[in-house]
Amino acid sequence: MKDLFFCLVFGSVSIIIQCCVLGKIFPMEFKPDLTLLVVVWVGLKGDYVSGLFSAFFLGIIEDLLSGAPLGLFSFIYLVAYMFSAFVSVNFDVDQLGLSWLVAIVTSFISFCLVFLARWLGGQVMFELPIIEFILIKTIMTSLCLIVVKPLLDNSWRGYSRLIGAT
Amino acid sequence: MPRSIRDITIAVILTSLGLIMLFSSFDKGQSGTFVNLIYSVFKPVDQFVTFVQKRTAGIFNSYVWLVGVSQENRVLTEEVRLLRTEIMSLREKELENRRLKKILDLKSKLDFPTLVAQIIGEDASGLFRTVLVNKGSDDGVLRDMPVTVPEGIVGKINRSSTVMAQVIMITDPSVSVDCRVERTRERGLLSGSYSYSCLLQYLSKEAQIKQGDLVVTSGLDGIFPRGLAVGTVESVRLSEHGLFLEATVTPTARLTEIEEVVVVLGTQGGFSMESGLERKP
Repeated sequence: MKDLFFCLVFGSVSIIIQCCVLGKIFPMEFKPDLTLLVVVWVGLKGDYVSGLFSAFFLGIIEDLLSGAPLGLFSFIYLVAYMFSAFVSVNFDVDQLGLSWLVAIVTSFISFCLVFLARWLGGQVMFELPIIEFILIKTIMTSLCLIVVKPLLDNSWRGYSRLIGAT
Repeated sequence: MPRSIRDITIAVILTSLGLIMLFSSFDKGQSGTFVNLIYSVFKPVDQFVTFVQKRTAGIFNSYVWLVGVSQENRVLTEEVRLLRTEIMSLREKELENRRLKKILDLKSKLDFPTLVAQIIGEDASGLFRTVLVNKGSDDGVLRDMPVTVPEGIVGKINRSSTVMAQVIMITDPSVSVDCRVERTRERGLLSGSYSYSCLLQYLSKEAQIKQGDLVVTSGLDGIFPRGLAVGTVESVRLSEHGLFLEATVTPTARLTEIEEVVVVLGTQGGFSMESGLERKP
């Protein structure tokens, strides 16, 4: 429960930042998905069940505050979470390089899934070269891990000391 | 129950729930209790962050520029800083005043009841062309209501809760608007293309359309009232199959810069949509 609270608070803050602040810094279409990074971080570090629930609820909030159909991001974040959790079980995730690799792969898969869902949902045209667009957004998102990961690690340490979470 | 089975069961249930919600929500404007609850929680935070950001931007910029000023000029610099802040504030107010005047002008021109709403957030993912506005169904804002600014249409309401609503812009690929080229009265279907321009399709091959032509709403889609500016023609080309012409249209409204919008409080059936009312010149 304590893990879930931490994840939901940080996830919600990241969604607020995405809605209100990141658009002023990055071009709207290339702004990084900080919430996805929170989900990936939870997958690499956190408790499995709390992580699943936080990925699901953060996805629902992201769905409501973006133009996505309800359930799209909750599904995508669950996939991203399970992939991260799988990597954390099988590999040494303390290396920044590995976290980065996971962030790159999950971002790429997530953005591909969004466009796939849009394409399946209706005949829509994308004038942009989609693969290039996805790659740029993936790079932007994964680069943010440099800031987000230490921030989450330090916050988690402080939070653990404060309330005694594991 | 063994832990691994419990974990897998939870993962399967949540994934299935996500998929069920995904496939059952493509054509619905979700506005149930849960949606209202989420929006109610996020609206004040969104508004607060936007408010603080607007208020502090000018002061922060001034402060950054003044760091490192020599001691001798401190008093004068302080005065300059205050004056700059005041000028910025006045400039901001002047711009706001101009925008509101234009919006008032638009409100008086429209024959329908309207409502001014402030933009309080952008699309969280950046993968959809949507913005959040601070008016919801309590103020009469419902799904599919047209949203416009004095320069041209912005989009339509995609989701509405009691306290806030989501506007999907005309540049989103899932939005289509029935339009006419104002000069030639040629009809076409305008769709978003994910870039900052739109695509006007299914124009007759004989259409005499040229760069700079104004595109307006036809009123035949049952969502947008007739005659609202949409954009200007940027280029015209033959479609992929060679059956029609298609044109790239740049929206007249600067969709990335708008701060206030006008919601037209009318939906299907509220506007005159009879075909044949528009006469060719």
